[in-house]
Amino acid sequence: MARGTIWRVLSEAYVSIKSVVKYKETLFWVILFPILWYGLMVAIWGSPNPPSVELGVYNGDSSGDDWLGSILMKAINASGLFKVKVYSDPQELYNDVKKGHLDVGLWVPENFSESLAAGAKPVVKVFYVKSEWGGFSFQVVDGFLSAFEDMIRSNMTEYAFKFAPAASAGWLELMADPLDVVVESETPPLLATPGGIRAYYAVSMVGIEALFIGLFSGAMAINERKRTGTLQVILSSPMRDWELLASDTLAALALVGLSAAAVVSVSLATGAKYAVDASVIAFSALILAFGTLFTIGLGLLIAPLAKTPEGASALVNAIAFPVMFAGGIAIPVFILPEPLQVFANYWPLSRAIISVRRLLLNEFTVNEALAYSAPAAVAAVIIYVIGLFVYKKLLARIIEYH
Amino acid sequence: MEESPLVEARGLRKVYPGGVVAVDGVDLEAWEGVTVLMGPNGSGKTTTLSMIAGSLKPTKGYVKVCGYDVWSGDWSKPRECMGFAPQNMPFREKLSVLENLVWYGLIRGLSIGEARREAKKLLEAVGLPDKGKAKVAELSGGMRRRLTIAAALMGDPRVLILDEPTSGLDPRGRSEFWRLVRDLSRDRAVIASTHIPEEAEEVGDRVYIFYKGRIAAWGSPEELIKRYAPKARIVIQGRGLSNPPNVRGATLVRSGDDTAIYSTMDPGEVLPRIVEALVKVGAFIERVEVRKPGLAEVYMTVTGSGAPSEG
Repeated sequence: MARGTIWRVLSEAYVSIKSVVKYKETLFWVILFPILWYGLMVAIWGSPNPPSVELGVYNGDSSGDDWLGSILMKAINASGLFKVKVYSDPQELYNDVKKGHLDVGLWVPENFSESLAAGAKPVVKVFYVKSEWGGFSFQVVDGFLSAFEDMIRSNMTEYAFKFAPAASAGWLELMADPLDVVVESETPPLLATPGGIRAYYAVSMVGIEALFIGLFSGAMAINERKRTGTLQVILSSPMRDWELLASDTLAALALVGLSAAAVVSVSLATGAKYAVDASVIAFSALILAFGTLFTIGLGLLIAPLAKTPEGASALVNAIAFPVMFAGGIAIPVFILPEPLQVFANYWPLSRAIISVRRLLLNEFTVNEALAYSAPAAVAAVIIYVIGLFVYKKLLARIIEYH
Repeated sequence: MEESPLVEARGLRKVYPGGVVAVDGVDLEAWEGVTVLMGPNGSGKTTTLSMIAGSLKPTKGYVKVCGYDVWSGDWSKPRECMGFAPQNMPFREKLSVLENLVWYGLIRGLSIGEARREAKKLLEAVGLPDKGKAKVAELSGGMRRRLTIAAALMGDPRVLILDEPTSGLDPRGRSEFWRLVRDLSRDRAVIASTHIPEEAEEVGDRVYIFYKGRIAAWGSPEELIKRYAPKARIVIQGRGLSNPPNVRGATLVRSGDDTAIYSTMDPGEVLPRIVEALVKVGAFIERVEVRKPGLAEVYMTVTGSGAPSEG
């Protein structure tokens, strides 16, 4: 490649990088915006634990630390599963569940401990609203009560040993605790940790930047220059059309790279954990570059639809805003409705971002990531090449008629 | 001195959609020195310059710069040879003067190091040596014009194309600007457009007069004046001038109650005769002015219309 060509191709990257420092609006959109949004995403979805269940409790059992009602209350508070609100009026508790102010209501009756001591089965009432979240909350409370019930059963069995014949003790014990459950725990996957979730959303923000920067770069390449008069000067310079496009592509990649560096730095400073080595970084960058190439190509395709930079900008926003959600770029794909999940799985940038996320979160090996992103890379190259033809045609029209 | 022109345009024609003919059959050459395209707005100067500069494709005809065809063959070769400054040279306002010039150097194929060195040298040459770090937005109108020259000269082109480079400048600013262009353009061909005849006459080694998309006349200012407006004008102002007498060696161009205008090849000899004749018929003379013919008169002669700056 001729020496002059190299420098001409670098020209737009030069001004773009300078502009990040000199133009506040560029600094905001390329660096600050993704960082702010990363913070917002982490604040909303940054915890790996499910949100706690709001539990209202009416404890009517007679006071005293060793009464069962008090023991139950202590266990509820100690579990960390619930945000507890204590009620003195069971009707008020019931009404609050009905109004949706509480997820679940638990009514411990007046004669709770006494009933047990007298050999009668006490009644505990649970209220919940039969919605998806209400059902989930009920399951949590139900599980907790089962564990509490096991504890009572175990205590009562121990008490019964004192009076039972020795031969039946084993049977009593088996009845009280018929199963021995052996539990083994594994280290949670990276994504299930707070650090992994932060890394997940940092990659999402890089994806959003790749989406917007690529689309803007492609859609505005000619329109904006025509408006400012730069195109006229470029056309009378030795820069060829493909050199200009290569220069814009490089500039867009440089901006996405800068943005990624900023977001990843902030994410690391706030505790994000990545599974990285040199090859993972290199292949992540490569896959991201193909994702950006796709959005640049798409921008080039829509460029002829707009006559002004404002029109191009409106088109870009009309595409990018829905796609960043519907394509599973800003948010996880699994929370999308099924038809959108299909879309996200086939949208090349989404596929690239999913590959990078999984690669950086240790869910994919390099080979798996490359295999998963290969169709996206092929699609990106095809769209970019078609975009190149559209771009050349648009440029030829401007050279013909200004 | 070159054996062939640095810029050669033949049969240039530009037709826009709707059949609007902006330029029709323009033949033009530019050698070392300053070539001026003169004419009113809409006469085809900018369209012609854009076709020469390689940013607007002609419908017909060809342009060669430094011997290379601008519109067929190697795209880069002819463009490496030229620097173009459109009417409003685009600069990135918040970037520094030096950064803007470096960008102009890069698009012309210079390395960053070369572009920085050349930019500093040119800033010195255009009188802005201490403005390298200033933002373009902070420059005055005059400084901006000088920066325009520096930008167009990045890459040391042999041909410098300037579209209406002095529009908006006062006469002194125009004069300083052209002195600078002259200083920086030795061994180069400069092609510039203007609608001001005095400016074309002052700076042009060769002037092309544009009228309705065609070249109405061309040549050096002296040749044009000699050919199309050789006669000086004697303007008499006073009273009782409504019926001025005919005078040998002079032609009465126009007369009114307070003004009479004669044209003559030899104002020195004819002027006393005109004054004498007017006094004889009882006219009262308040002011006498001899106007040397210029390109404004040439323009009026070749186009049969008012001066181009009035266009």
